[in-house]
Parts: sequence; C-alpha cells; structure tokens
Amino acid sequence: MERCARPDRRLRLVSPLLVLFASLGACASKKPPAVRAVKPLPQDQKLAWMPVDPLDAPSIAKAVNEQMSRVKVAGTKEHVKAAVSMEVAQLAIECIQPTTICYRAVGHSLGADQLMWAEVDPAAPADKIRITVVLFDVQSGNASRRVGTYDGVPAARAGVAELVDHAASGGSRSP
Amino acid sequence: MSANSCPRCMKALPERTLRALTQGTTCPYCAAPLKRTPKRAPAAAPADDDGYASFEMSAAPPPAPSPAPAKAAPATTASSPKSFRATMVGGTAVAARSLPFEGTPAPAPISLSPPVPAPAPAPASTPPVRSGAAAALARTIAAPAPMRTPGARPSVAPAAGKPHRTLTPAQALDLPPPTPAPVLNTPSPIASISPHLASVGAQMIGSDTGPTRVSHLPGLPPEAVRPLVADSESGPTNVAQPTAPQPAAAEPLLKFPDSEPVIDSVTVAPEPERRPAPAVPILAPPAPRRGLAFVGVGMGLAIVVIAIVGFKLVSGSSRKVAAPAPTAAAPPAPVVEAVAPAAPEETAPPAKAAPAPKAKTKAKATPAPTARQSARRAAAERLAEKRAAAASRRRQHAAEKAQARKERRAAHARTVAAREIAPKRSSATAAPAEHADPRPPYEHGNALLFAGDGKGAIAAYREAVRSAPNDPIGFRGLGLAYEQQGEPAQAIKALRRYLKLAPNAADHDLISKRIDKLSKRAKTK
Repeated sequence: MERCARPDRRLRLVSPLLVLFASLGACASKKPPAVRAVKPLPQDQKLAWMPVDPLDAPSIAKAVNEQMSRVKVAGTKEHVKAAVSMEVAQLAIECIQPTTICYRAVGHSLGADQLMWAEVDPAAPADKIRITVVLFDVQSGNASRRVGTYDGVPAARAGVAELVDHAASGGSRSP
Repeated sequence: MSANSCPRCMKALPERTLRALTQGTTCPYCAAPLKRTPKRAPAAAPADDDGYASFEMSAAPPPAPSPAPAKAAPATTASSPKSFRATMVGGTAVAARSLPFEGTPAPAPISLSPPVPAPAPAPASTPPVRSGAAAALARTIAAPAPMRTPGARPSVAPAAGKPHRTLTPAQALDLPPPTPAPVLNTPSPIASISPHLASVGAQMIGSDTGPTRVSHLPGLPPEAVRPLVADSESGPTNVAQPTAPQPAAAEPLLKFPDSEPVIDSVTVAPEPERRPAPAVPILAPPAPRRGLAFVGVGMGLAIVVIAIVGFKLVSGSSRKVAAPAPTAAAPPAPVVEAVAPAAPEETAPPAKAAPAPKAKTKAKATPAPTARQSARRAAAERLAEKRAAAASRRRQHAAEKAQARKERRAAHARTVAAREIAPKRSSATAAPAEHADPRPPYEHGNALLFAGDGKGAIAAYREAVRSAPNDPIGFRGLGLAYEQQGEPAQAIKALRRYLKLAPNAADHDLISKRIDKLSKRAKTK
C-alpha cells in the first residue's frame, strides 16, 4: 500500500514544478510572427510604363517601348505611358538612387500605382545586350525584375517581347 | 582423563564414589551417572596388566590407583584414545604384522602409547571409547604410537606428502575380510563383548585431513554394520546408514550420558522471508510535506506571474518602439523628405533623405523584438546617430566651403545671367530674384513635365531661374524640358550651366553623360 501511495506523493511534489515549467515555457515561447494583412489588389490600379530613353539604343528602345505599350498587367485597369523616362524623372525629382524610395517618389509624382520600365545595361560586354524590365508596385514597394541577355540587337529585339511579358506576369520578386 | 576422574567434569572422584562404581553411582560434582560394568572386573586381568602388558615395551602403564584393579583398563583406553583412529576395530584382535604401506613403521616394536597426561583433555577431540575390545585392537594394530598431542593425528596412511588412500580394513591389513582374525593369546576384553561384533566388518576410510567414514563391507548386510568408532579430530565422522539401535548388542561398559548431544544432522531451513523494510519517506512527515508543496506551488505561481508581467512589459515596450515604423514608412513621407529640403548644395537632400527611411524599414522588419533585440536596436540607433552627426558635421563643413566658393562665383554668375536673361525680360518684370524661392516654380515645372506638357514645364523652369538665377535647379529643369521637346542644343546649354553652378552635385555624372548623348544626337541631326 505504501508503494502504491508513493507515486501520488511524488506527483504531488512534482506537479507544481511541472505546472511552473509549463507556464514558463508557454510564456517564453516565441511570439508568433505578425501576420501581415494582404490587401486584395484593387482592380482600378493605374500602371504607368516609362519609355526607354532613345539616347542609349534607339532600335532596342523602340522595340521595348512597343512591347511595354501592349503589355497587360493583372490587377491594373489603366495603362498609361509616362512622359519621361525613369532617369529623367529621377533627375527631375532629385532622387537618383535605384532604391524603393526613389521609385516610390517617381510613382507618386506620376500618380501611378504600378510602374514598369526597362533599362539597357551599359556595363554589359560589347557584343552582349542586357536588358532589365522592372515592374514596381508603388504601394508595397515590391519590384519584380526580369533580365535578358542577348547576342546583338536582332536577338534583343526578338526576345524583348517574352522578357516584357514575363516581367508583367510577376518575374522574380525583389525589393 | 584418568580412571579415577569423572569423564564428564574431569574431577577426581572420591574413594567412596570409586567403590560404588560397580553398582553404579553418580559424580558428586556434576551428577553424571557413572557405572562400571560388572563384567569387567572378573574378566579383567590383574590390575597392573589389563591384557596388554605383553605388548608394552617402552612405556609402563600409569600407576593405577589402588582401589580398583579394573580401573586400569579405562585409564589405558583413555590415555591413548587416538590409537583407535587408525585402527580397524572388529570383534577380533589382530596380530601384529607388517603393514603394506610405505613408510609405515615396522610392526615389531609395537608399543603402547605411554599415557600422555593431557594437559587439557578436550572431550570433543577425544571420542568416547565405546568398547574396550576396540581399544585393545587399536593397540594391537597401531604402529608405535608416537608421543602426540591430542591435536596430532596418528597415521595409518602413507607417509606425509602422499595422497591419502581409501582402504578397507582388509586392504589395510592385507587380509581378506572373511578370514578369521588370529586370536591373541592375551586375554582380551573383546571376548566379553557381545558376539555380534564378530560379524561386524567395518570399512574405514581414513584420511589425515578428511572425515573418517565407515561404510559397509561388501557382503554384509547393512544392519550388521555398526560404527564402532566415531571419532573426529579435524572433521566430522560420517557414518553411513546408521543402523537401528541395538542396545543389547553394543552395551557400553561405561555408561555416562553425553552432556552434549551429537548433532548428526543440520537442517537448513529457508530463511524466513524478509519483509521489505518499511518505506522510508522521502521527505519530511506528511504535514510539513504538504506545506512544502504549497510553498512550491506558491513560488511557481509567483514566478509565473513575474514572468508574465515581465514578458508583457517587454512586449509592450517593443510594441511602442515598433509602432512608429509603419507610419514612418508611409509612402508620402519619403517623397516629402526627399524633395523638401531646399538645397544650397544639391547633393545634400538625397543624402539626407536616404538614411532615414532605411532605418525605418529596418525597424519595421523586426516583428517581435525581445529585450536583446531592443538593446541591439538601441545600440544601432546610437551608432546611426553618431554617424549622422559626423556626416552632418562633414556636410556642414563642406557647405561652408561651398558657400564661400559660391559667393565668389555668385558675382560672376550674376553678370552672366544678367547678360542672357535680362534682354528677354521686360523692364517691368525685371525684379531682383536673388532672394526668391525657386522651388515652387521648379516643382510646378516637374508636374508639367511628367504630365507631358513640355512647353509649360519650360516656362515654369524659367520662372524658377528668374527667381533664383544662382540656383542651378532651374537650369537642370530647363535642360530636361528642352530635351523632352526635342531641342537638344538648348538642353545642352542649360545642362552645362547647371554643371557650372553645381559642380559637386550628386547627379553630375548623369548630367555629363546626358550632355554627351545629346551632343551626339545633335550632331546626327
């Protein structure tokens, strides 16, 4: 009988400790990450695509601009062409860094919810043309980039359509 | 032990008791019953010769006390009790003969053991002599008994160092068991022993160290075997198949009850089951234990409450710290910060605007800061403040230098601007614009430019230049607007002017590249 009663006594002694440890563990557990409320994209968003400056590569700029003028981005109702390129806009607003803040400032200056622009990389090798198409969400600050490297202008002109379409569909997200 | 002493208490018996031995009496000291068998007296030899005198060669029997001539026999048997051990005791006396053992002393010099006065006769080591015939036979067969102490052991066995041998009496004596033993001439008390002893054949297993066992001889029924020797010096004497008691057959001559019964069996009983020890309480008795439990519960609850309160405080403080982050990171704020500062030096506003939002985004990125994180954040903020202070100091120093430089150039710029713009102005609108703020017309120009109104933008930028001819931002806007309108020459002109007024501008390289591109385009046109 004593043996049978012994576990109860031990349990009686151990149970407060168990409760203590359990409560401490519960309190010390990591706070769950804050759930960021994802707002559904309104359907009447305005997309402003900014033309490539024809000073760099006129033929490529023309092809890219044509492609961007035709592109349809999901969740946007209005597609407008900005009057200035991204570089001119940044110079005008005196925010020339390629940062989210500057892009946001450009977006607010243009009154657009989303921006799309293309950049011809001047640092690419001589025989290569590297084109980057960026889709930027002004409100969230997310940017999706799609980079294409082509051997010569014809290849670049041929491949720009797919590049722009891919960028419009999402691409790789990076702030 | 002597014949005149009590075999039990070893005290010398008084004469009266000795006389009464034949009728049977008791020891006056220990009340042990003493009786001398009446047969013994008539059959006994003369007092000084109890039948063994012819064997004596070296030692004379101890002087027997005068009262009883029959006392010599027990005295003799008592004086050499050990001679029985190595002797087969049977119903017949055995003539002295050479033994086949190695090292056995020659049988010729048979001698009786001299009566050794035992200093401390131990009843346990000196077995009781049950038969006088056995004692006689022992004297007969035994080798010349050495002078020995009771602890020593006579040896029929071979010399020391050789393994002991198990011999039957017949083997030991080299006689076939059924052969009738030779009869000694000497009158033997064996004759007085009951005749059944003659039919007893004993087999003795002698060992110096081991127990002495007597077993049956082959061919004899076990009932006929009766152990005649029960001796133990170093080990127990085991008697195989103890026969049924035959009181008539082996009537001891001298009766005395053994005060200490021989333990012939040991019963090993299982150890009584041990009850487990009563459970020892682990801690104190119940009442204090309960108190201890309550104390433990109370402490646990207190710790829990403290932990929860601390956690709440920490989380509350972290929320307070983290709260401004989203508001600071609100979209319109950076724009205002980035655009707002009126730059005496154009590089300053972007540089000022950039770090603050970065820090705010960092603060936003940490969702659940703990105390450690808040400490890290505080350290990081301190570091950022130091860096900002250093940067502001540097900026201030650079601004002072630039201001001095600017003032020097201001006179020249004023004259140049006066030459270019003044002719276009009407005399009425011409007003000192050096102290006016060029920022509002500049921002208006930007809005018109972004809206695609190039002409309106150019007008706005001109207004900015007019209001502040020494401020380069108007010239930059003019250059961008002219480029937008497709007037590269005017654009180049305005942009070069801009670079002149703001040679250390952050966008100096970009403007320079743009001038180069516009120049190429102009050439191609």
